[in-house]
Amino acid sequence: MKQKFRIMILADDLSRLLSRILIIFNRRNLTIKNMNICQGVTPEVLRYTIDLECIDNQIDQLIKQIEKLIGVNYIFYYQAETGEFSQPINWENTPPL
Amino acid sequence: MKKESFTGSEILIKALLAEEVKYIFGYPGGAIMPIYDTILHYKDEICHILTRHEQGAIHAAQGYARVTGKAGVCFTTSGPGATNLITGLADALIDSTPLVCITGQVSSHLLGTDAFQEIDIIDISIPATKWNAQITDAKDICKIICQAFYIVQAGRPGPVLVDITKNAQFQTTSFDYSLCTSVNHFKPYPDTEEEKIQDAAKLINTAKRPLAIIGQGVILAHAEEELKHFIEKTDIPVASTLLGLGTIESRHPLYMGMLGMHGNYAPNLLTNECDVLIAIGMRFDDRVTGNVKKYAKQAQIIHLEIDPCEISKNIHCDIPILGDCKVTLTRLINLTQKANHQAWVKTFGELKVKEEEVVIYNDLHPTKEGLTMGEVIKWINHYKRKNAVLVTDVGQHQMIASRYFNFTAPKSQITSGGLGTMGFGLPAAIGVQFGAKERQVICIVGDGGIQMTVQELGTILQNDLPIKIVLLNNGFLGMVRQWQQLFFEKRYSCTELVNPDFVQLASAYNIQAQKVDRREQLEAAIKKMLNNKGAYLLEVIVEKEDNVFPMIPSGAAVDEIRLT
Repeated sequence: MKQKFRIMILADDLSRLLSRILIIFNRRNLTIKNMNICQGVTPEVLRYTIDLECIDNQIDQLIKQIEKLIGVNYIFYYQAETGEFSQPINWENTPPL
Repeated sequence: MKKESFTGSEILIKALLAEEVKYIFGYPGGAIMPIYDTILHYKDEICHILTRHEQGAIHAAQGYARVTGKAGVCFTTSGPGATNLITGLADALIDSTPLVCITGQVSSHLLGTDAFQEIDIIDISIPATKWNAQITDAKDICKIICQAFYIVQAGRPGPVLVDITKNAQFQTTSFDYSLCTSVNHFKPYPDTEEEKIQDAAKLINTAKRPLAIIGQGVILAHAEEELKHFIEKTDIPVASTLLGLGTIESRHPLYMGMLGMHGNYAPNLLTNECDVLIAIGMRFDDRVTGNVKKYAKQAQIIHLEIDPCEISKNIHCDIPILGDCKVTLTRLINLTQKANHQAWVKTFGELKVKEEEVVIYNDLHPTKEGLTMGEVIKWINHYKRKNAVLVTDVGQHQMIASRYFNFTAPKSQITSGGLGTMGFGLPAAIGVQFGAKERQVICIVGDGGIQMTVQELGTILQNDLPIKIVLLNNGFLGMVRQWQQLFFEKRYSCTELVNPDFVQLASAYNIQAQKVDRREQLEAAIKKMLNNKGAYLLEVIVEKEDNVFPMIPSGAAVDEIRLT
């Protein structure tokens, strides 16, 4: 069954990185329901927030594929309805969003 | 002191020399002319191989990369030159081949104006590359090229495309090159968890019916010796994927054959009977697993893999061991105990006898009138040199050659696995011959595949390469015809070929050639070909409607493998 997820990415400000991220969704015919890109705490870092619906076992693959992209520094996701994080977040080591 | 300045083109060539590039495969054109002009000045230090098509250039670079383990380099121009690379890039990505492709691009002020031969190759190539970049300023060339050479080899290899605008090729700047050892936030070698290795070793030490399945990752990690040590110590039977062939010699007592759709009977069947499945440097491709819902459900699966994306992608893995398998295998060897699985290994032998009776004997010693592909490979095995490299195209001949070729050395099997690119064989053989000058290169092709890149006979002629081409001609697109016969009630839609006279075609390129259609000519013809000094094309007319067996039909489980 499809679930709602929110993916947060911190990435270098590189041209075409957005294309690379989108292609990962396109390849699986997933549509993005909501998306925001803004500057992170430093000017050279961008913060991506992406909302989408997909089946449970797809999300792990998506995250691993995005994490592999050169320029992506940090990624995590949580289930929108339960607010459950993908991994226990160690806020001390997490770069400020 | 003012630094000496060079043009962007010179900087590129000097950077390639710093990376110890010896061969470039390419095809010139308008937007890359400054670079080609520079190549002329460096012709004593770097050799450019002119192919007859850009697809030929990239497949040749792939062949070179696969046989040497170094990055293959390929040059083409903008527009059509660049788009013709896409098939090769996709092939290299899925088969993890390190390639650096340099394309020319229109001047930066013309970008986005639909200029002559302008195409946005960076966006087009994103899904087919590990990384790509465009250079519009000469001062970026050193940085991007050194990153490119690092990225293609780091972790799981893959292709990189670098697009250089014409103005950057002319622009002058200083040359300041240092080898790249890391890229910001790019982590190609994942951390290995010691705990997982211990868990895996415990499982292996208690296993009663373990099976190891290996892929190209073992070759890419140069872990052939470690693998051999591991399986010999633990007495575990081993089977290989298509791209892993040659990792372990075909006649090793623990080597049980090839996995997958047209693989061997025993390893496929027993995948569903083993208790521990140890996957090393392979990615559970659908051609290997068949129906994933019925794949090795009874087994505990250990997966040694460098790319975290492959863990539990297709098949759920119980113990993932991330990392370079040369390192992880060594650690695993230290923790595993000597074992004896004689009875289990014997079951493979029993099934092999069955496969030999039903399939192999008829393939290698046929009594029917028409020649079989199998008997051609049998005679090649008989007369080939020990460390010969097998290069194949895609189709029935690829499966038969892979099944029966006697592999005795690593890096002996060069073929298009994941993408299944017809037309790969002939140009790849060119790159292989440049990469392994002292080795005998045997290129086995079908009548369909060779005609997709047949123009590369011109490259063989120009460079006087001693490639031995064996053309297995059945007058059909054989693999598609086999499927039409088995699954589309013999409706042979658009698969029959009317072929040219291949002997005359080869002769036009000054390549010695012979055609064989009778069994009594075959042995002598193969002996003559393999003893010939220069290039040789041997056309063998084989049975028109032979099928490749065993076969796991699409959607079936590995233990539903059919012998007939």
